[in-house]
Amino acid sequence: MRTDGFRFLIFGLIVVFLQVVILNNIQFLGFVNPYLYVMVILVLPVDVSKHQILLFGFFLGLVIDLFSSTIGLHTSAALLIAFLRFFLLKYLAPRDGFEFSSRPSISEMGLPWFISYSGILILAHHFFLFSLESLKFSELGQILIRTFSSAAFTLLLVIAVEYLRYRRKVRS
Amino acid sequence: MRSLIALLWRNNFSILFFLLLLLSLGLLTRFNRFHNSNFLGFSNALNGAVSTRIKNFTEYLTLSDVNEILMHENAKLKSRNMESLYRYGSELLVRENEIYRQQYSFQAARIVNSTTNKRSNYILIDRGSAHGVKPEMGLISPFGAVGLVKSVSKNYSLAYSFLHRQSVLSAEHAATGYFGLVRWDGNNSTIAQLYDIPSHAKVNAGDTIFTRGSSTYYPRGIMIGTVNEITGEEEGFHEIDINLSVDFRKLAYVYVVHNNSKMEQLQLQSDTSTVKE
Repeated sequence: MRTDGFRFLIFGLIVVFLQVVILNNIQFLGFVNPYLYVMVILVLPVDVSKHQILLFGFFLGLVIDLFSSTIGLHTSAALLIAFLRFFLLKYLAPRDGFEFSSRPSISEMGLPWFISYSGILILAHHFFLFSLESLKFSELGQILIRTFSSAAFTLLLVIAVEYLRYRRKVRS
Repeated sequence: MRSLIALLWRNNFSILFFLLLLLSLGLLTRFNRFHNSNFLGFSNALNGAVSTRIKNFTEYLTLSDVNEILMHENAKLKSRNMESLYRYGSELLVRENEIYRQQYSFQAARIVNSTTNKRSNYILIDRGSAHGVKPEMGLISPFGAVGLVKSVSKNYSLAYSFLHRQSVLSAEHAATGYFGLVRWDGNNSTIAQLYDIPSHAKVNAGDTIFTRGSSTYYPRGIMIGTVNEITGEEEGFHEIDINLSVDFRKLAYVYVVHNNSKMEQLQLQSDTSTVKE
């Protein structure tokens, strides 16, 4: 269990590093910006307590904010999906519940389940983030375009990274 | 009482969520309003330290473009040198009754990080309070005005570019001399909007728009852009789309504008505004 936690920490650090160093600098088509870091919240094991996940989301967002001079923006968006995750997992749980220490991942739950699970949370995160950034109802159309294009990009990246992790696990 | 505590305890997850949400939204509004807090300075320093390392790698990719821009600017300045001027005769060029005082001085700075794809974009430069940069100083480039410094740490400064929700810029229509305000609607990083030019003013596509120099941030006559098209009219004023002369996606270096008359101008303005009321 301890090695699992350590592995997860390394994984989280790599994702945050990727987000800050590479993805924050991507400006595809002028408005598409992937936020891969939400993945760290998405794939936390099911048996981590919901309060811990809430605090974890808060501090993860704060770290991203610190590196991009947007204090509070990612903090609140990451917090929101850490909160929603609990209810979504309840709703999407298999009929006989999750097994102890299982993960919301492609390898354990299958691709269609994973797409609907992470798709919903990513959309919620991006919509909240871009709305908070704009704060104008008149810009709703633009917020929606940003939300859907960036969410599609983020989801693709999350699935790609998820497959990379999965393949490595099969080999070892 | 006991049932109230039980109710709170049963919903402790939601309560923890709302408390943390209030905290983070509090952080957000606080740092949007008070740009000089230590925490944001710390964030700027952290952001700057990482971005400088990235920039050191990626800078080489744009080096030839940057060189060319600097060459052009050097050539322009060289042609203004006294040695480049032909002397017609001493009496024509002697202007001994005029006295000049340096009002603006410029300080070169490297952009270490910037965004153009968000609703509110910023520019991080590698000059800070240790180099004399203060909040409310303007940034310009060889192509035109760029933005306004909002917060400084020891070695870095964070500026709003014009591509920001809160950026407003006082502008002048070169052909007619009418004043207006430039804002950005968030759609396209090459186009901004000009308001408050009266609709009887003759505005044509291609007309130059430059800074009015009223705000103490920029000298007068710094290029902002050219008129793209008149998109509408509201209550006797034009609504105009302008092509920004600065390509914010390519910008690598800027000049920080130091206005030596700033205090005097602000002092006079605040004195007269109390008289007026």
